[in-house]
Amino acid sequence: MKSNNFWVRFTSNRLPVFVGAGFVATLIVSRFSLMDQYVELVAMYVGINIILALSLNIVNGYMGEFSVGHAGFMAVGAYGASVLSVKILPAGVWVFPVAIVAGGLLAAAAAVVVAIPSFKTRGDYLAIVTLSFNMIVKSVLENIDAVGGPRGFLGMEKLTTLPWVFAWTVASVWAVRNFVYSNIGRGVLSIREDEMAGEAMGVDTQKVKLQAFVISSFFAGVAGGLYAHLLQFISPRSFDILKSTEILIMVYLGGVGSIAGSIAGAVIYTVLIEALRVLGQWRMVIMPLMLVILMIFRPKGIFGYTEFSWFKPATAKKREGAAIMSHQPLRQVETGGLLAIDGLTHYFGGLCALSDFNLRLSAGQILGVIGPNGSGKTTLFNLISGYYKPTQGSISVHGAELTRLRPNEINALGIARTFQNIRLFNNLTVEDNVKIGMFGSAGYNASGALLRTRRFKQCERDMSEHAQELLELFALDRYRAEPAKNLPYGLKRRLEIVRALATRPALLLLDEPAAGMNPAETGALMELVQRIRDDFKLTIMVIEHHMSFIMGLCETIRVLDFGVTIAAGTADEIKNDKKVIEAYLGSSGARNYKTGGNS
Amino acid sequence: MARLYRAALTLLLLLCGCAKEQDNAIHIGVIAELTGDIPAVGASCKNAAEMAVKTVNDMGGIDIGGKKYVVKTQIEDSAGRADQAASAALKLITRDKVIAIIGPNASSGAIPASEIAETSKIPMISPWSTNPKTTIDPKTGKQKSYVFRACYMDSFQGRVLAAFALGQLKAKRAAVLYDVASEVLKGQAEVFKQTFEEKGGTITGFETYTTGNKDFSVQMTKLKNGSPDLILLPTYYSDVPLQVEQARRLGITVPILGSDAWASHDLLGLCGNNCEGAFFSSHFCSSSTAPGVKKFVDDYNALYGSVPDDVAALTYDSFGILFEAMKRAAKPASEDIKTAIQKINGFQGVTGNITFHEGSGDPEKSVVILQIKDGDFRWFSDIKP
Repeated sequence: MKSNNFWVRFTSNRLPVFVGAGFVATLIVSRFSLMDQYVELVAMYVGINIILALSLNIVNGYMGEFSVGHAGFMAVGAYGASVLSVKILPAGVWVFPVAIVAGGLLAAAAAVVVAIPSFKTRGDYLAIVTLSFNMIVKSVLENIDAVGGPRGFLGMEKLTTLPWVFAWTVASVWAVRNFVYSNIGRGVLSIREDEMAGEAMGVDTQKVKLQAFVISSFFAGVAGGLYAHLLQFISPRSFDILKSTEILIMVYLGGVGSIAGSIAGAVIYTVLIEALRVLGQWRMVIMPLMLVILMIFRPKGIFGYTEFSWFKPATAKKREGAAIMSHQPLRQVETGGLLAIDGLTHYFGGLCALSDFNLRLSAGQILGVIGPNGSGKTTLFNLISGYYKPTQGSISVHGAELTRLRPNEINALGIARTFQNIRLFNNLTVEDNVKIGMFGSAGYNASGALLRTRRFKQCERDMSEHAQELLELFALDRYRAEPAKNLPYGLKRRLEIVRALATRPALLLLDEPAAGMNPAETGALMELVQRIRDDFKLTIMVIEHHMSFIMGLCETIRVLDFGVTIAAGTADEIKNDKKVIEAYLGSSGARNYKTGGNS
Repeated sequence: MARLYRAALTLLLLLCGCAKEQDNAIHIGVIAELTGDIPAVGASCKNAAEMAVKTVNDMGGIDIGGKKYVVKTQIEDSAGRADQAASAALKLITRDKVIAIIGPNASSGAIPASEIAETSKIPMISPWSTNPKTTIDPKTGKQKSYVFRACYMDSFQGRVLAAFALGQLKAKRAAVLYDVASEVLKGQAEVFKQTFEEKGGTITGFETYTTGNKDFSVQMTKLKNGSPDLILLPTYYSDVPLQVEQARRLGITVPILGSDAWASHDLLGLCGNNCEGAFFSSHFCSSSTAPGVKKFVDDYNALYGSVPDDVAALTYDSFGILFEAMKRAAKPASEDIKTAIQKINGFQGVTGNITFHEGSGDPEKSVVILQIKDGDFRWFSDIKP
């Protein structure tokens, strides 16, 4: 164990030295032809494939979407860079890097065109769109005679050399690492884990998806440019669906959501393809077979969701005596009402889930919402947090109308929620779950993350400290590095509340926080909710079936039945309300209850 | 982890495996599309290569500068991909120390491989690559010195088809339908059109489709409306039956002409009576009665139990050209062999009479016109350039 730690320390400190030494080594090797040309070519394929695998891993591994047409972006980069270097740019030392970057940018621009229609919806849609994109790129290229049509494009100098490939590979690993381990990267992960929960925590999922997709395509384009200037020949056929499949194999072989996985996948695939030449035509059977076996025994690939420590930037430790950060709402109400709901009505088809709901909620209140199953409680929460657009009526917070906003925008206005069925980001650590709650207040953008600016480091350290503080407050700090799925049930509920608090809301919506808890746990939760209301200056709405919880906690209570508000008032008023008893026990039950109560 | 390292080490050793030397052996590399999307091409190429080498070695090897050498081949797979064709070429040259390469067949592999052969100064003969760019240096626009092909090019075929249509079929008005996604077929169609018009013919229709289309009725109707004397279908054999059937259904009765993409015996079964009487140009006629061809077809059939296709014949001729050049070379060196190939004149191969002209890797050879008759391919005529 000790030697392991030493190794980690040694490599993390010396990494720049290793990389520099590696670069010098490749320079010497290629300058003096020390390496067998064949091995050198394979080494360059490895580098290009690492870039491709990393690129696809951003979308398929980290974001959890499914792009199957990445060769299309590679083609855009390859043709863009080649046309620039052959036809447009004058000869010069700077042609190559400029052409490669331009190829990457063209691919990124193509990604914007693809992303805008396809990210409006989720799921298999992206797979279909990227597949079509791949085919469209291929047929468009086949029909442009200026770039050789189906016969392909030639005339590139052999500018791709081992040192260049090495440099680009290192740059790609570095950039992808910076991207993934940043606020935006966590936003990307939240989409994979639970897009709906991510939105509720303030992640602007559409923007994050676009950024991830654009960066991914940029690197696919870079790989295309390198490929074109290595083989000095590109044809539309080189970028067909088979090429896309090849990249997919590398990603799923090495491991989804892992930089080490992308590298391993690319190295293993590329080297095996060459090493297995002795097998003749059986060679191409081995790779898919390996993949099938791997998918059975290790469905996420060799390094799926795990990472070598040197691909992770060190997380900042909490400084001793660091200033305690404010946990209080980002937007505080000065006076008067916080939430106003008027005539809120929602239909699912012909079914009325909520009818003419009205509410005025002022700061600091705890409101309980009860009612039998299917009475519209969760619908109410989903309307407030923006998952449903109401059929009629208005909701406003701080006087701002919510009904047209997306969940992340509503979160930014100070409304956070938990879910009836816990929706944590299961594969992410407890700390990252909390940090995703801070998505909206990160204070740096994508370029800051990619270049690791001073501001980025400052903001990241602040976020880490803030997250650790919150975890300490709720006695979750010893699970900081644990994946959320490993927590016991009660702690998951608690973490979900902490995550919501991390967004620094003014209004917290708790959807059945005590579900599945025993009386002792419920009692503890009650105290916790009261405490956070006071410490965090919150206003709380809570849905619960535990009557003792609601009666003990809430100043006012709303009772819903079939979408209609049947009672409103204090705990005592509700307890004795005839309609409420009828709704819960039925009219005959109500009679029995009454007689029982009298005897 | 230890296991992982061990596996990596084994791989490394495999990659660095040494080529063994033998004093009186000369090594020839073959790059074929054994896997990928055209495995039938790779299989034919491999079969013909093994047969050609066996024939020479059975006669005691090859005589170069007064010394007998045994020919050894190393066959590598390109998977029909450009990158793998390039790595195969470099492996053959740096690892297996081959003095010449036959293949790759598909142009998408032959072009990157030809770049490597040219810079490494190793002669390469592609049996089947019809893309003009294979033998041309893109930077200077001149012919590459070390790269040759055994087939004629699409442009040549297009010209010959036009000459045949005007001359022997006496057609004045021709209509064309071709697969726009194929570089080969597109080239044939365009050159045909150009030549046909230059020589006084009229193109009454020039329609396209994309690989995978199954309904050609719209295009056929347009072609029919131009009332042509002849319809040219530079399309793959798998598309031909549907096209011919739909043409016949529309009442088109004029002669139908195809190109080398028709040359699969599967066509006969698929097309049935509809194709009866149609003509197509080919690299090779397996039913020819010329003694060289007959022996080749019989030997091939005896070894592999099938009739050789044009890839097999062109691979066999590529080896023929290479062996012929080796016999004339002073020593088994790539440079000497290259010079000797450039001087090949009137080599009698199974695909015709082949001549190379100084400074060009493209051969001058005759085109075979076949006719579908009584449910078989029949030799119709040879067209010399």
